[in-house]
Amino acid sequence: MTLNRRKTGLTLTGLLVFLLFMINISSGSVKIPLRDIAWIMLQRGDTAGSAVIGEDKSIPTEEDKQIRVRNIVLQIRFPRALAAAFGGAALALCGLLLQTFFRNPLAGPDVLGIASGAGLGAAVTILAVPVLSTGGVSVLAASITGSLAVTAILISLVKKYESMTITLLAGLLAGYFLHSLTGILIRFSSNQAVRSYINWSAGSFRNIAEKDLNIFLPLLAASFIAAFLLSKQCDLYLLGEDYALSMGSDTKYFRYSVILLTSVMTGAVTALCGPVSFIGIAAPHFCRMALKTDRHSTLIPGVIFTGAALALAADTISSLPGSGMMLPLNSVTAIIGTPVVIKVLLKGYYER
Amino acid sequence: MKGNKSPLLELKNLATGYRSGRISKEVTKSFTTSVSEGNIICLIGPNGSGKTTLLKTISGMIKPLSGTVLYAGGEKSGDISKMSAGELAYRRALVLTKPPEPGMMSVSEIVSLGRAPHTDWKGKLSAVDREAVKNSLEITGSAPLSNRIFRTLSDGEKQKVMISRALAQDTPLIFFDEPAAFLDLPSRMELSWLLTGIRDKGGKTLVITTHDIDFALKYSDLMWIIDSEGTVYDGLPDNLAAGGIIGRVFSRGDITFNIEKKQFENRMHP
Repeated sequence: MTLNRRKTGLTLTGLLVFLLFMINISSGSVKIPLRDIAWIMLQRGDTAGSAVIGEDKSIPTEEDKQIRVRNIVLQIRFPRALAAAFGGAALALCGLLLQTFFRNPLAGPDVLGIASGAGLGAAVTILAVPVLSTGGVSVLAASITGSLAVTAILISLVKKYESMTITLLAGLLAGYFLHSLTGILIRFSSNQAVRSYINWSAGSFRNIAEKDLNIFLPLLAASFIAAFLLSKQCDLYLLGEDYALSMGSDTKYFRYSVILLTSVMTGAVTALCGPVSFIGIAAPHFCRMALKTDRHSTLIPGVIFTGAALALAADTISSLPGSGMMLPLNSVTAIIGTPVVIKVLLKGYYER
Repeated sequence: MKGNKSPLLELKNLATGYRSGRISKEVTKSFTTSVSEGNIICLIGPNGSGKTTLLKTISGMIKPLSGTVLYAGGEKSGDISKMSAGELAYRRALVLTKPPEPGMMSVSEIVSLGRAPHTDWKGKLSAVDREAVKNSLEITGSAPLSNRIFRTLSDGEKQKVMISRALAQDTPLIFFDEPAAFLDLPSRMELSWLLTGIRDKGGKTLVITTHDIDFALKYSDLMWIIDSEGTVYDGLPDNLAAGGIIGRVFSRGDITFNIEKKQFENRMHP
C-alpha cells in the first residue's frame, strides 16, 4: 500500500462523509434541496442573527418560507448531523482502539460492556434525577464514570489472565449484569423518569440539546486528536504488548490512554445519544477493507470518517425519507453491522 | 569470553521470579556473570526451569527479584532498572517464540516498526531509517518478501522477518526466546547460520533460550544452564559438557548424556 493510495483512500472517504452529511441535512419531514443547503451554510455567519420569522404578517411571504427553511437547517438539521457525524466517529474510533489494544477483531465498546457501563451511569442519573431528563453535564459525567469502571476492570483482567477469550466473555457478561441492574432500577422509578429513560435508551442522534453540543463536540474532537497522537504506539501494539514494550512503547501510559479515551468517547456518546450499537465494531473493518492497511496514522483518520459516514447513513435511513416515520436507529446499525461481523468471523481473521 | 573488552552485559547476584503483593516466588537463584561483545550465549534448562523468566528479566521486560542487570556503561549508565522503555529500546531488541498476528501489515512495514525508537512521534522514516530497514531485510534474506503480507508467510519466513525487525532496531544486544520452537529442521539450520552470521559480521551479542542442546553445544560461545532447582551455571560449552553438568541437569531415567559423543543416549536401547 503506497502512501499515495492511502491519501486517495482517505480523501474519498472524507468526500463520502461530506456527501452523506449533506444528504442527511436535506432529508426529513421537509425535503430541502442540496443547493439551498449549500447556500444557507455559506451565509450562516452573516444571517444567523436575523433568522426569525416575521411576526406581524398574517400571510407567509416567500421570504418567511426561506427563513423557516433556514431555521430548520441551522437549528435542527445541522446540529443533528454534526452529532451523528461526531458520535459515529467516536464510537468507530473506540472500536479501533479496543480492537488494537485487545488484538481482537470482535472488540468494540458495545461488545465489551463499556457502553453498558456508560448506560448504567446514564440510567442512574436519568432515573434518579428526572428533572434533568436526557442530556446535561451530570449524565455525561455519570456515563463516563461508568465506562471508565468497566474499561479499567477489563484491562486489568487481560493483564492478569492474558486471555482475550476471558476478557471478551467478561465484557459480554458485564454487559448483561449492568443491564439487569438498570432493569431493577427502572422498577423503582417514577413513570415520568422511566419515559425519559425509554426515550433515551432507544438510541438516537436527534435528541441532543444544542447547549450539550457545545461540550460534546469539543470533547470528542480533543479525543480524536489525542488518539491520533497515539498512532505509532498503536502500530507497535499490533505486534503484541511484549514486542511493543521491547521497542520502547510505554505500555502503562498506553494502557491508561486507551482506558481514558475509550471511556470518555463511549461515555459521551452514550450519555447524549443513548446506546448505539454496531458502529464501533463494524466501522474499523469497513475502514480496513477500504484502505487496505493497518497503519494507524491512516486508520485513525480513516475510521473517524468511516464511523461518521456510517452514522450519517444510518440516521438518514432510520428517518425513512419521505414517509414521516422513524425506524429504530439500532435496528439500522445492526442490519448494516452484523454482516460485517459475520464476514470477519468466517474469514478466519481471528485470534487463535 | 573473547578478548578483554569491557562487559556488554553484567549480572550481579541476579535472582529472578515473580512478586505479587508480599508473596514472592523465586524462579532462578542468585547468579553473577558478565559477557562481552560478539558472543552467542545459549540459555538451556529443563522445561519449567525458568529460562524465559531469566531472559525476560535480563532484557528488562520484568523486574528482578533481587540483584542488578547492567548493560554497557556499568553502574554509572548501564543499570537497566534506571532506564525507561525508550532508553532500553536503544540497548536491546527482542525476538519471541510466537510470531505476532499483525493483521494486514506487510513485511517491510513490520521491519520498519523496528526503527520505532529512532523515529519521531508519527514513526516517519528518514533516509537513514529506510537504509537500515533495507539492510536488515537483506541480512536475513527476507528482501524478496518485503512487499508480502506478513500473515501469509511460513513460520520460518516469519521468524526471519522478526529477526530483521530486531536488527533494524540497531542494538548491541538481541534476546531470543526459543526462536526455533516452531521451525522445521531446514529452517532451524538456516536460523543457526543466520545467528552466527549476525554475531560475526555485526559484533552483536545474542542471548538465546533453547531446548535444542545440540544447537547450544555447537554454536554457543558461552552457555548458561539452569537446573531444576533454579541454580544457574555458566561456562564454555565443552567445559560444561565435560564437567558433567549437562548430564546431571538433563539426564532422566534411562536417558543419559554421553560426554565423549556429546549427545544423549538411552542406556536400555543403545
